[in-house]
Parts: sequence; C-alpha cells; structure tokens
Amino acid sequence: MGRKILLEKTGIENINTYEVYRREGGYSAVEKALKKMTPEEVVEEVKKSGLRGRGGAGFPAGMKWSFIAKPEGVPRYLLCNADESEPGTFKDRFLMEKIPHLLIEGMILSSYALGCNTSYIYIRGEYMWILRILEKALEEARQNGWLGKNILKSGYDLEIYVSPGAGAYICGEETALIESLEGKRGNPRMKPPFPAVKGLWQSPTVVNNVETISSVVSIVNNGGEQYASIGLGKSTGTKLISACGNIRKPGVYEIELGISVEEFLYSDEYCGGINNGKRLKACIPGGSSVPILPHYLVTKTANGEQRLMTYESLADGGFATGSMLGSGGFIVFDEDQCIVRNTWNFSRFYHHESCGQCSPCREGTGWMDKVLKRIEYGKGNMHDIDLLVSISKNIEGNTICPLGDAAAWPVASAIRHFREEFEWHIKEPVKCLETNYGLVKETELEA
Amino acid sequence: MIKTAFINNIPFNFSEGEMILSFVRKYFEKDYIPTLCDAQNLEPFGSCRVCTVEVALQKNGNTKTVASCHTPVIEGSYIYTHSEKVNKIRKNIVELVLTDHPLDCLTCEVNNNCELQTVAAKVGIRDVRYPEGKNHFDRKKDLSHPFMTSDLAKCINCFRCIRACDEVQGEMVLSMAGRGFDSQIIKSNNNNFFESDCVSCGACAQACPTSAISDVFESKSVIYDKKVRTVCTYCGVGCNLDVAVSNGNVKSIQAPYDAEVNNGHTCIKGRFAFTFYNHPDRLKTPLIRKNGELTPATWDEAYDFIAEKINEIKSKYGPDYISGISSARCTNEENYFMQKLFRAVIGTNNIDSCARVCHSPTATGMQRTFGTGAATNSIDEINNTDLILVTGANPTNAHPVTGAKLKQFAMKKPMIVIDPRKTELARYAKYHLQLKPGTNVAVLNMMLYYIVEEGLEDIEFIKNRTEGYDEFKNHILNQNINELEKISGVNKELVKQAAIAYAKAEKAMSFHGLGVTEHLQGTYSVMLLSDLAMITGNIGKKGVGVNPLRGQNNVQGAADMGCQPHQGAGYLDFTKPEIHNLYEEFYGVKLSQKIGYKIPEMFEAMVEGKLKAMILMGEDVVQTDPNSNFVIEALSKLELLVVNEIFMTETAKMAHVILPASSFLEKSGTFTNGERRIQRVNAVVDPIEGTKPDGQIVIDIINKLGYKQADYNPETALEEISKIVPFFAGVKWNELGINGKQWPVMPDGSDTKILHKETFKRGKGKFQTATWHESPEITENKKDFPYILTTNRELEHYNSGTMTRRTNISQIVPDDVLLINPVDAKKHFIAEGDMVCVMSVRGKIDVKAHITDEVEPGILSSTFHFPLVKMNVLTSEISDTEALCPEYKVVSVNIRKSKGVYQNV
Amino acid sequence: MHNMETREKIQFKPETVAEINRIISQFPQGKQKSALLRILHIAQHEFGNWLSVEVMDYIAEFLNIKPIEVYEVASFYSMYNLNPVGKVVLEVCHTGPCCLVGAEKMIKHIEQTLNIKPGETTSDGMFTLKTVECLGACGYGPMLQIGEDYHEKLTIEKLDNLLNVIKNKNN
Repeated sequence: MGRKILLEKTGIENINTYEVYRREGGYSAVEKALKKMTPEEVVEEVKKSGLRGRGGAGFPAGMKWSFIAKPEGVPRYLLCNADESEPGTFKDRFLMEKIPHLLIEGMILSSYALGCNTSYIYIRGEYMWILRILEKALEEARQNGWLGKNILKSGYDLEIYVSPGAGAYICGEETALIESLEGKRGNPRMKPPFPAVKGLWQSPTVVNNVETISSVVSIVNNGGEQYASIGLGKSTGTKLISACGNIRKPGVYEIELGISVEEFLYSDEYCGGINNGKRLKACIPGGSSVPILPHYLVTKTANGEQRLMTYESLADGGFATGSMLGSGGFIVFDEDQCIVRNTWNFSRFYHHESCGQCSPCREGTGWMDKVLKRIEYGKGNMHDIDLLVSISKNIEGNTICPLGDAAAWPVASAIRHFREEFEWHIKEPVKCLETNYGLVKETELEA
Repeated sequence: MIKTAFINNIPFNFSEGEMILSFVRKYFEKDYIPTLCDAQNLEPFGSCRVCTVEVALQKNGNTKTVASCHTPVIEGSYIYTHSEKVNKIRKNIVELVLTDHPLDCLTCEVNNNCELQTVAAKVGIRDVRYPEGKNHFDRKKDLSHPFMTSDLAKCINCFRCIRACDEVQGEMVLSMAGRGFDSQIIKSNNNNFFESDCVSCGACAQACPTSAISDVFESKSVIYDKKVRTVCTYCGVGCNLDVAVSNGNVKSIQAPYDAEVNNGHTCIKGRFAFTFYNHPDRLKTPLIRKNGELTPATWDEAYDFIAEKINEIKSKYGPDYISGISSARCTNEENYFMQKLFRAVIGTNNIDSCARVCHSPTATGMQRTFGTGAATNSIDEINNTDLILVTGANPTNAHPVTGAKLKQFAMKKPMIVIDPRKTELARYAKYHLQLKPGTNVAVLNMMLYYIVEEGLEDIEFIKNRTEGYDEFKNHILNQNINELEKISGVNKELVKQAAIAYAKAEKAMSFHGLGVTEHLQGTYSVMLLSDLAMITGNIGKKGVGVNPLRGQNNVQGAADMGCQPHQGAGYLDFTKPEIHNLYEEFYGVKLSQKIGYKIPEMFEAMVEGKLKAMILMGEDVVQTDPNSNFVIEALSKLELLVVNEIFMTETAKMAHVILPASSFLEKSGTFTNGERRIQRVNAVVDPIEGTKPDGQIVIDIINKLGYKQADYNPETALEEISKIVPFFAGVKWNELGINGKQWPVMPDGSDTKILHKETFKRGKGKFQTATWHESPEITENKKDFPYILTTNRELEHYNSGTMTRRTNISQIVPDDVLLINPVDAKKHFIAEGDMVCVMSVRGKIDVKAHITDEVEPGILSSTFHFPLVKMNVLTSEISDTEALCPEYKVVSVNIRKSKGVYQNV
Repeated sequence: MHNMETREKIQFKPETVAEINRIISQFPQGKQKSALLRILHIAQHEFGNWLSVEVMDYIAEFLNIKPIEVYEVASFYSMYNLNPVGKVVLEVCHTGPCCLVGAEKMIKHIEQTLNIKPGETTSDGMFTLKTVECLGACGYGPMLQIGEDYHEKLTIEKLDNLLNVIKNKNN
C-alpha cells in the first residue's frame, strides 16, 4: 500500500462535515501557518516540496506562486480551477465531494501565502451539486472562524466563493477561466501579460488546480521536505489518477509518484487489469489530450525500461514513443476497441469545445472531426491520413491557448502508432463497417 | 539603451516592449508579414495566426513559432519571417480559412480589394485540398440599413468588426455569438443592422477585410478616378476624410488611418452624409425678389442689385446700418474676406458669426482668466490624462469621434459628468452630477469650495502662475453650500467626492460644451472651469487644461478670422489706436473704430429701425436662433437681406437676394478645428453648375463695391492672413501637410500643441469669482410654465439639418422628439410617440414624445433639426450677460397632450 | 436613447432576487457581471428550462450590462438552452471513455424507447435527448445527467427504470 495524503481520510464516515474533519485534525495547517509562519515561509515550503501543478501542465507550484506581481494597493486573487473537463479525468470531483474541507483548508493556506483576501473556486457548471457541497462547507468554515475578518486573530482576512461555469472545456485553460469568471465568453487571452501580472479584473492572479491546492495542506502540516521525500526525482509526492476504460476497477486512486505503470494497471490495489480477460490494446495515460500509447509502449519504454508513473517516465521517448502524465486521466483500451473511432470521438470533442477564436483551431478541429468521421464510416481515402497529419501540424503550437495542441496530439499520435488501422478502414470499408460493434451500420452517413 | 534583434539574420534596433510585427514593419513594407486579424487602429488580437514567425533565442538555436502581432521582441533573438516552416503554416492556415469562405471572388463586391484575396495570393494558395464540407455559405445578406450592409457568408471570424465597434467606437453593438465553428457575428440580439443599436459609424465596415460587413457606397472597393483628402464639414472635431471620386461624382468616403485627428475613424455624418451635395434641392441660380417672388437672375444682376442697395443704404443711413453674419461652416479664408468686406469695404464692425450663439462665453471667459479663448490642449491627450471632467457636453452625439474617445476613457478611468441629462457619457461616468439646468455656477462653486476646504490646492502653481487668489478664496469660502445644494439639486457629498477626485488626479482634463455657454451665466461658468484648472495646477502641460468642444467645423476659425464685432482678424482690439492704425495700413482704407452689433443686438436693432441691410453667409437664423418669431419680425423689417446658401432654408425664404453657394466638397481652403488645428480643405469636385464658393461670392461683392481684391484662392488668401493674424504667422498653404498645424504657428512654421506652458497668454492666470443667479426666464415664468426645456443634439443630424435631412439619415431619424421623464408623461397621460404641445411665453409647438429616464422629472429636452417642429419658437432672447450668447438651455415651458400634428403657431 | 416602454413582465421570485443579490455581493463593486453565468443557470431553472431573449434582456437590465453581453455569453456555453426544451432533459455523455463502456448503446436505447433523436423533444414535451461531451464521470460510465443529478454506471435495465420513474412522477 502506498502512502496516501489526499485520500488518507476519505474513508472516514462523515469526513465531509466540518465536525468530523476538524476532529480528525483538519485546519491544523491553517493554525500552524497563520500563527507560526509568514506567507513567505509557506511559499518556501511549497517550493521545497517540489509540488507540481496537478491540472495537467505540471509546472512547479511554488515557482508559479513566486511569479505573482505585488503592486501596491492592488488586490491579488487566487483562483481554484475546479473546471475538471479533460476526458478521462474525474479526480477533483472525487476530492471535493468526499472531503471538501481539505480544498478549503488548502485555499486558505494558499491565499495566505499569496496575500489574497478574496479567492474563488471556479467549478464546471455540470458539477452544480458539488458547488452546493462546497458552499455548505465554506459556510461551516466561516461559522467556525476559518474565513472572514481577522482569522485566528492573525489580522488576516479572507473570503472564498464558488462560481460555476456553464459547459465549456476551454474554461479549464487559466486565462479562459479568468474571462469566464468575469462573466464573459471563455475566449483565452493572449500572453503576455500573464495572469500573475494581469489576471482577474486585471489584478495579479494565480490559478491552481483543486488537487494542487489540496496538497498544500499536507505540505504545511509536515513540511515541504517530507512531501518531497515521497515520489521519484522531480515527480514528488502523490498524485490522483482517474482510471477508466476497459479495466476491472475504474475509479480514483492516489499513487506515490514512481510506481510502475504495470503495477498501477494490473495490481488489484489499483486498476485490477483489463476487464473481461481481454488484452490491452492501448492506453492514454494523462487525459484525452496526451498522446496515445500502443500496448507495447505502455509498461515499457522504447528502450525496454520499466515505465513508471512519473512526469518524466511517461514522457520518455518524446512524442515518438512517449506520452505525458497530464491530468492523470488514465484511459485503457482493450483489444476490441477501434482506434479510429476513438480518435474521431476525441476530435469531435475538441471541435465541439474549440472557442473559435484562432483560425487554425476553429477550422482545423472541424476538419479533423470531418475527415476522421469519413474514414471511420468507410468513406475515406489514403490522402486523408496525410491531410490529418497536415492539419494537426497546423494547429499544434499555432493557437493562443493549448487547446490547439490538445486537439492535435491525439490525432497525430494515433496515426503514428496505428496507421495500419487507419489504412485498413480505408481499404476495407465494408469489413470495417461490419466489425464496428453493430453501431455503425444504421448511423447517418452524410460525410 | 538601444536593443538589437535580428530579422532574417540582419540586426535591427527595437524598443522595449515592442511586438515582433510592428518591429518588422518598421524596417520592411507594411504587408511583409501577411496578416488577417491585425488592423491599423486596433489592438493586437492574435487569432488568425497568419502572422506567425519563427524565433530562436540565439543564432541557429531551436526555433519556436509565435504569432508576431502579440509576441514581444527579445533582445538578441533571431526572427525568421519567411522560413519554409513559416511559409507552410501560413499557407495551410489561409487554406483552412478558405474552406469556409465562398470562392465567388469574381462576383464579390470587394474583388481585388479584399485582404483575404491578397493574403491568399501572397502565401501562394493555388487550390484548396479540402472537399466541400459543412460551411456557412447560406447565411443571408443584411440589406436592412440605409448605410450598413453585411454578408456574413464571407465572414472569416477575424473579430476586426467587433473590435472596431468596441475599441474604436465603444458601442458594443457587434459581438460573436456561439462557439467554435458555429460562432458568428451578431448585431445586438442577432437583429439586422437597422433594428440594432448601431450608430452607423462605419468603423466595422472599414475594418472588415472581406465584404462580410460593408456599406452601401461600397467604400472599400468602389472604382474611382482619384481619392481626395479633405476635412469634414460637420462638427468641430475636424475629421480627415478620403473621398473617392469618379467621373466628377463623389462615390464614397473613408477615414484615413494616418489622420492625427481621427485615426481611421469618423461618424455617420462624416462617412455617409455627403449625398446632400448633389441633391436636386441645391440652389443653382441667383434669385432676386421681384414683386414679392424670388425670381431667377444672373450673377451680375444679383451683384448689381446688392451693390446698388448697399450703396443706397450706406449713403442714406450710414455704414453702421448694414450688418453681416459670417458662417462657421465656411473656410477661414472665406470668413476672413467676409469680415474684410464689412470692415474695409462697407466700413462697419457689424460683423459677427455663429460663435456668438455657441462658444462666445468661452472666448470671453477664458480671455479673462487665461488671455485667450481657445482650447488649451489637444484631443489626443485623452490618452495621457488620469481624470476627465465633462461639463454641459454630449460629445457622443455632438462630437462623435471625440465622444468615442471619451467613452473609451470613461470605461477605464474616472470621469465626472456635469449635465442635467443622463447622457451616454454620464452612464459610464464615475460621477454624474445631474444638476438642474442653469445651475452650473452653483455646482462649480461647490466643487471649488470643497477643493479649498480640503486643502487640495496646488499652492506652488497658484503662487507662481496666477493672481487674484486671495480674493477668490475669500469669496469661495463664503459660499453657502447647503443653499447651492438646494439650488442645483445635486447631493453635496457627491460633489465633494467629484471635487476631491478632480483635485487629486495627477492630471485632469476638462471639456465643456454648449451646456456651459448657452446660459445667462455662461461666461461665469467658463471662468469657474478655468479656476478649477488653475487651482489644481491643471494647465500648461500634457493631459490637462480647459477644452471647449467647438460645435461647427470652423467656428474656431470664424472667430480667429475676426468675424466678431469687437475684435478684428486675430482677436486684435481695434479700439486701441496702434491696432487701428495697423489695420488701416494693412487694408489701405479708413476703418471704423466703433464696436459693432453682436447677433442678438442686430435683431433688436432691426426691430428698432437701426439696421436696414444684412448679408448672411450660410446661416439659417430663423431656425437656429432663439425666439424665432422675434427673428422673423426683425428680418422682415430689412430693406436688404442677402443670403448665400446651398439650400432654400427658412431664412433664405425671407431674402431679397439669394446667392447659390458651393458646399465643402466643391471648394478649397482651411478649417480650424476645436484644438486650434488648421487643416487643408481640398476641393473634391468642381462646384455644382450655377454655384460659387462663398469666398468667391464675397470677393465678387467686394469688387463690385469698388475695392480691388483678387479672385478667391486659398494659397494667396492665407498669405494675406498670415501677415495680419499673429498666430497664423507661419501658416503656408503648401506647408500644412496632411494633418495641418495647431496655432499659434511661429514664423518658422513650428506649431503649438499646448497653450500657456510657461506663462499665460495674459501673463498670470487670473482667478475670477462668480455668484449664482437665477435666470429671469425662470423667475418670471415659472408660475405658468413650470417645466424647464433644454435643447440638445442627436448624433444623426447636424444643427438645422439642412444637409443631413437631405441624405438617407432621415430614414434613421425622421423627427425631432421631446424627451420626457416617465413620471411627467404619466402625469399628463402622454404615451410614447404621442404628440405633445409645448408652450412657452413666446409661443407653442407640437412635438412627438419620447419617454426616457435620460431626463429627470420636471426637465424636458429636444433638438431643432427639423423645421417642421420650430423648436426655437419657444426659446428666449435672454442671453449670457457678458458675451450675449443666447440661453438655449433654459426655457420655461408647460406641456399638455395634443391631438395636433405639427400645427405650430 | 433608453426606451422605457414596458416589456412583458418577466421577474424573478423575491427569494430568487435575494439569492442573486447574495451572489452579486461575492464580487467587488462594479464587477457584478461576474455573477452572470450563475444567474443564467438560475434563470434557466426558473423560467422553464431555457433562456428566451426576453429573459436575457431582463438579466442584462438586472446586472446593468448591455443585452448583447448576455447573448454572447449565453450562446457560448453549452449548458444554456436558447430554445425551448422538454420538461426533462436527458444529457447523455458520448465522449470517448463513456463510449468505451457502452454509451452509444444507451443513446440508441433512449432513441428507440422515446422515438426521438439527439436534439429532439418527445411530442408530449416530456423528454429532450441531448448528447453532451465529457461530464467528468469517466470511471462510472455510461452516464447521463438530469438537472443537477448524475445517473452513473447505466445499464439498459437501469435506464428503463429511470425513464419509467420519471414518467410516473410527471403523470
């Protein structure tokens, strides 16, 4: 059993209530920080911990905090990104639902460290019931003196509010999130200026993921060094992995970074292996945006080394033979799954979610969707594969925000590793239609 | 410190914070890097990605592709603008864009003038690899509007129209609805242009790179023989216009991006209201009244008639029985000759201009405090100030381009608006002091009081630059604030906050309009605005000052040129012997030293039989001057009324002789805008057959009366003017350039952006005091006429509407309306659109009601753009006590619902 | 010019107004627009599951912003219905992970049971079927959302049951 930091107490009955959370030692980190530590010391511990952003990018959290501009007389804001929308990812929801006070405690600590007096949790609109859980927990925290004016007589004031989105994947991107929180369309902003300089209402702003912020509690309680002692190399601490797809035990798991992919995939403590005795075909280890790995690159790297659940090991081999830890959305495909169909499915997703601002993404995601659909439904031709590669190259790196990359990578990697399957769809349209789970035949074919 | 970066391996200097695109454009041609979403007058947007370049941090280092428009240059970096990779990306992106753009170029409005077409060719697109897919070709064209058109099938989602609407005009009528591929431009709630809140400024059409948004004149693509740059004839902003001409006809107008005044922007009037110029109603032949009828005549007959009459009256009564009103719509040169005609040829100082009825109190007031009446600073300093005070002005309607800039300001920074109406700016302003009409002096005194009371004066400035402060301070501290609060109806706390904000702002700029001047105490209010600037040290540097928003295109120039009865050309006081001698020597004739009649005095003199002749250059005094019935009575007493006009106005109908004049599009000269900028007006087309420029008409009369004057020519005219008007000393026709010069222009040709920098024109700035007085209009009439009517302007029309009513603007705004608060409307059972009878002690009129919270209960407001309504039947002959500017802004009236349809008395 | 003509009366219930004011108070003065997304959710709930132009205009007035600022936002986010929908909206996730575990079969089953395609409403106005993108329940698919509730690990039997319960409750 690996050590647990975030999910350590989720098994305790009624841990979602203030009483139980407090009884189990909750909010002691706030006491420690506000009574014994300066904000700078909190930042220092987070730096020492090596904690990296858990939303997907993996940028060191302490460093991100240290970038925040501190002009006089201008408020600063901490925004918690609870817009969890990356297909394959459902860990933040789990955390907020099971143990909401952990996030709130983390928010208080992080806000204190950054010098914010108002902080917001931006949560995806579909999680409205979690918003209500959070608002209830916030009210409890306020009632018990953890929020409001002069918390613990430290002179520190803080209010935390929750604000919902309304169905837009793009709002998980930090500048789009800021726009959305300002009551606008979720069109990402150009950088520079970076949010750390001009973010929410043009004030310095830090946006952190739910899991990142929740991890700060343990870092303050036990010290950054202790956190850094868990994990492997620059992948310190624990990480929540959302496991789904064709596995025996889908769900949210907390792992110590550094365990092997093989252990995570096959041990009964985690995924429990492929469902129904089937064989592994492929795996997307970090949410739908990261490159797909064929079965022979999942547990071993191209060099034949053991692949580990770390930022570095999952990326080993670069885009040619590696992938990314991303948000920790671990999607497993068994031998029956059609890669073309799944790639088309994700392309349709990005097409649906493109904000429409940048022309390569607005037009390109549509064409990837269209061309993939055509291939999937037996109407493709061989040029289509090259066209897809061309479009994906066009989008990648050529948009204001990373949604373009997120849309391009799955297509590029699927073609890289499964080109034959694409070709087979084109060469054998009839067979391909017959084998596709009986779903395709009747479906509309206007492509 | 100079920094260097490399463009295609060649080093160039850049400035800190500069974006790659503008850096490259500095050294290469404008379209060296192709772009789609970038536009000259808009902020970088970064969405089309066509401007992508490769950047390496060192030579032969790893490169990254970035959008050059919004990526800052890094010192020592290597920028590759046309690498193989970049070329491929550009081509592929444009190809993608073309997959949702109809390829019907040959029949498209903007064929050969389409930026998408140009960019596509430039990046080397020969064909599109994609089959026809889902697209938006079936979007319907919008032809609902008299000026704006759209064909969104052609839209490439570059957001330029939306950004133009937001960043340039600040209207936010256009937006993007939907998401991703399904996103599309909407106008308000996806209405068509006509039903939307569009103000028809045309900025979106000019910004659109394709024909997705255009205008009915097809200004982006119209085929023309030549484009002529000239200056707009409407308001005092002085927008530069690029006029396209084909076969001697004006085809369309665009706003040049290199114009300092308007930077590629203009308003509905400037851009679209030009078709009046060849309207069938144009007067095309001189008319002489014979047996009561205006009868066509030749020019010679008309001139002979005029000369004969003038000579007769002059010999019978003397030259002071003849008067003239010049035109603020005409050029400097024309105004100069008009005053010369009266002073040097006829021999009287009875010459005035409509500056009298708008900003004469500004001139008088600021002369008393600063030494000169003109705007102290320049409009573009809006970008360099921290707070703006707008008093009695509605620039988003009356000075649209400046108004748009002010609105942009108010959205970002603090603005104080002092206005009885909830104007558009007031809605954005941090502080709106919604005072009762006629109480500017009270509110300004309150502001001054709080500044003194809070100890926020700029002691240093007061000590070094001003005089009369102690006396002033004494007077201010003796104000009864509670009483002033009651008088003005503005909460004193709010006034205090605004006063503190104004005083504490690092730099505060003040603008004012006719809501300050057209009052009994207009001059006093202007002096108090000057006091505010002086007491806070907001004068003589960038981003500060007192800046009247001049009404007409050349009202500044008309006064500069001496079209006023108490000062000659260049504001020189001819009652002083040395000045008198100077003028006599210059004109080579004996001159009168007697101060002439101001406009309101002229009408009184007519009624009293002391004025027998009048020459009006393009003024419709019957419609625009107050108390129309009195004006009509006065004019009807004249033995000779000569009117130069382009259309048959209400005044022209009373003339003995009408001389058909040319419009601004048909003549050359200079206009001086509200920031003292002398700009070249260039004839776009020949005068309409049968008409002559006013300048030529005046010179013809001068010659007919026996004084030798060469034909009208702006170049030689300016030469003459520069010799007598001191602040025109260095003005030369050929050196004015495209953006003109701001006076004073030194003999070496250098001009002046900011006045009163080291010292005031009068030496030290003089603090002036004022005590509020109720207008007799109210004290005498309020019992029977309990409402206060104030007059205002609409964006779409211009003054008496002579020109704008003869364009398709009348489809947008067909009527004058009376603004009335819902509370008052309810009280009188008046519904939206009902006819209302408005009565003052002088007469009554019928006008359509518009119910709005723009006015407070008890206050009414209306325009006088339409002769049918005759709003000025109501207004009073009460004038500013110092400058005799009529009090258009305070009229005691009563109202009742009427059945009548314009049965005006 | 602002027109004061009275529009058709659309008004939040007093308790809703209180709730909205609470939400607005969470943002600094002048930043009330930040409450827009949440208010649109509330409005959609209160005014029949969709946002009419009149409702959006009302919200604009409520927040003192321009109506277009509401339209552009409402049309951007997929949770807002800009056209009328059924009493019960079945939002079935059809993104990759759910499809790996049978989401397409569930959609097909709903189509057949209710005789509607995605985007359509049953003739009795009871159900609207909407396919939606990932709802963050990937480990518990197939799933669908009704109102605020998630229904996870769906099977054909569970689905039939659910539809029956809803029908019975609304009859």
